[in-house]
Amino acid sequence: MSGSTEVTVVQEKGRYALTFGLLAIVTLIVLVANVCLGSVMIPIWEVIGSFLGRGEVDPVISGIVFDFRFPRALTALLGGAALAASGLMMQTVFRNPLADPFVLGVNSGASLGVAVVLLLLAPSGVALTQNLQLSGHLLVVLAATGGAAAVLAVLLVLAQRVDVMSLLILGLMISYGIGSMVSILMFYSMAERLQSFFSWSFGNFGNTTWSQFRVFAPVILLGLGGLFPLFKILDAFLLGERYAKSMGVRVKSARIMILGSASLLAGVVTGFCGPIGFLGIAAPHLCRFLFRTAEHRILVPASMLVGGLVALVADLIAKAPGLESTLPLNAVTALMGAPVIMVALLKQRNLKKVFG
Amino acid sequence: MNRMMANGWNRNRDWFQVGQIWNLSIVTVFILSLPCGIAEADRAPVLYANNFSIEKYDTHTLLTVRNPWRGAENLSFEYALVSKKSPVPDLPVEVQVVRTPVERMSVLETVYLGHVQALNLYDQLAGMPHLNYTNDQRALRQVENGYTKEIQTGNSLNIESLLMLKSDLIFTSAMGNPQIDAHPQLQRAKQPVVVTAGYMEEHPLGRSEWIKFTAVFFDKENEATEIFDRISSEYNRLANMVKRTGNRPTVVANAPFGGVWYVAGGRSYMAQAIADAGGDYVFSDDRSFGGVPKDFESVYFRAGSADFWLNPGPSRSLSSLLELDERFNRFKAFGKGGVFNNTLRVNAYGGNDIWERGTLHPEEVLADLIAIMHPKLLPKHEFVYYERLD
Repeated sequence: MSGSTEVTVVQEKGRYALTFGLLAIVTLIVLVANVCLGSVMIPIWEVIGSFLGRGEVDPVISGIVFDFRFPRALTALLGGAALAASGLMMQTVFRNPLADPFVLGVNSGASLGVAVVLLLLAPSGVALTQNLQLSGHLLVVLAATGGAAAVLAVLLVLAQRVDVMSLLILGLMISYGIGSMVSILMFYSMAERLQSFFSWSFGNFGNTTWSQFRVFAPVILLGLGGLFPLFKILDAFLLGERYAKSMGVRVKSARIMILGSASLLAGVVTGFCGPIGFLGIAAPHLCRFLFRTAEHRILVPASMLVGGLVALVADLIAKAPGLESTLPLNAVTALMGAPVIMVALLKQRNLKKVFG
Repeated sequence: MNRMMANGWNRNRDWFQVGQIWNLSIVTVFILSLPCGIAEADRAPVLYANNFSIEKYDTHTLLTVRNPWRGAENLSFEYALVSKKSPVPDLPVEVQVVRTPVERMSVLETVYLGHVQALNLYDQLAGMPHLNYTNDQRALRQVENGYTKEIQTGNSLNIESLLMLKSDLIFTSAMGNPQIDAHPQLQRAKQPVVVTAGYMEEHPLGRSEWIKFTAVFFDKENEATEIFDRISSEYNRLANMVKRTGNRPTVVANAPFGGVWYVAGGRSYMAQAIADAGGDYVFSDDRSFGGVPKDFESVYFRAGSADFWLNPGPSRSLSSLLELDERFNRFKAFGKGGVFNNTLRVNAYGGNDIWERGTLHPEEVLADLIAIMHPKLLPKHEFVYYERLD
């Protein structure tokens, strides 16, 4: 009896390791493909040459590889990982398979921040932003992150007073409220300003330059690293807050910590790359399907890996290699991901078991 | 390495000559129609504009506006201008009647203010929009002292307050989008709304020639013809001067936002202006009229070594461009003072006079562009709209 259990445990361990290994290899291949492929066709030896810094490569080519494609691919990898991990935590805390990184309204907070900068301030005060020595993309990043943080702060204060289900609805209501403020701003804006707001809302990994990446990467890595001590608590949450309490988890503070870090990850990605939808809800489901487990010590790292992979693939398609044009990233993530998730769910049919 | 940098060289259409051919063909039609005596219409010459025509009848003047928005090549609007002194003749129902001379005009875009200034129509200006974006100081003073009323447009178009102005002419242009366009609502309200299509003209002089269209409503055709003749002969003089120089520097335009670079299409107004000013637009092989979304890296690939970079968004200095994206300093034009923006006459709210005065005066824009690309041809030129960013 006990022998066979041991065998299954060993088998499972082997299966997990194999799946992780395969995923890592595929992710690496897609990462390399993202650097090699793009609108401009660059022969592979010139790509390698740009990295080795050999003299004979055209500086325009090495610029494209090193300053455009490489930071973009790394941003996609980290951003995808952050959104997926954040989505997983939200699904667990709210015990709701529909939850995504933005359930608490951090993306609407971010879009209000950006709308204020792009639609309200930009027309009336070109001078204002110039005096602050703060303009362009950095200002957009700060506005989005600030907006997300403001909404998050409000919700975390509320989180101490109400239970999770009320919190979910409160988040939804705040999203609606902020969304309508954004629509009022849009209503009174001229077409070309709306255009810039729309391009932000399509999402894009290609805006992060190296100097921004130096801020983006440490924040994301720190946030992701902070999740690793939380596996047990997350497992307990999945069984319900009452159960978690009986396991000795200090539910309120744990909930606030998890929600806070998940929203922070989502908010930072939204700040730098725009509101990238779908990834955060899809990647955890894909992982549950691939690994057939609800354990967070597997699901958290798996979601990061799958999130990064999906983001890289989506960005590769959005770049439309070989064509000069591009596709909106948000459309690609959903178009590509929705069928995958549908197939996974149809094959799995046991989500109710996971979420009770 | 052949990087297709100069792939526009074979397609730089010579618009000056195209204009001349139009000129000839219209005059020919005009001459041919006379002896036949088909119509008692007297067709006023339109040389560069494709989207309107003026026909004089004994009882009225018929204005036809064609191609009013993208994708509406076969759509046209007809306006019969009837003097207030004479009775309205029998006309087909689709022809809208406007009584002239107009005494109270409302405009729904600032672009018409260029005509107001050139033809001195300030006394007739009853309503105007977008005060923040307006550069015409005299019009703004009229709003301040209450002579001219502000009009809310776009989403917040308020039909009732527009009705209160009792305009006998309302100028607007349309996008073919019933959500945005004002003219269907105004037509329902029985307002004398006239849809113009100047922005759909491909040639800068075509857009400018619309002053003749405006002038008919105020019986000022002769003035308009005089103004336009001055503009077009100056434009053609400048374009001819450039034609003799062999050197054609490469040019890129616009700036990316959100990682996507909307470049002006190869057949756009901007591409036209660059070609006329003796520049080689890097996307001149493109076949579209409007903006085309391109990946940043592909624009950098084509335009990284372009000599000049025009209209990089709202930025007025190189440092604010760098804050937008530090990779801009990889462009050759960036390093050697080749970045120019049309922001010299921009007011505090971002309203740019190049869209007010500049659409009527393409010769001023052309002179600026020539002075940028061929400074030796116009050594004493003072910039009107453009400035070098540094």
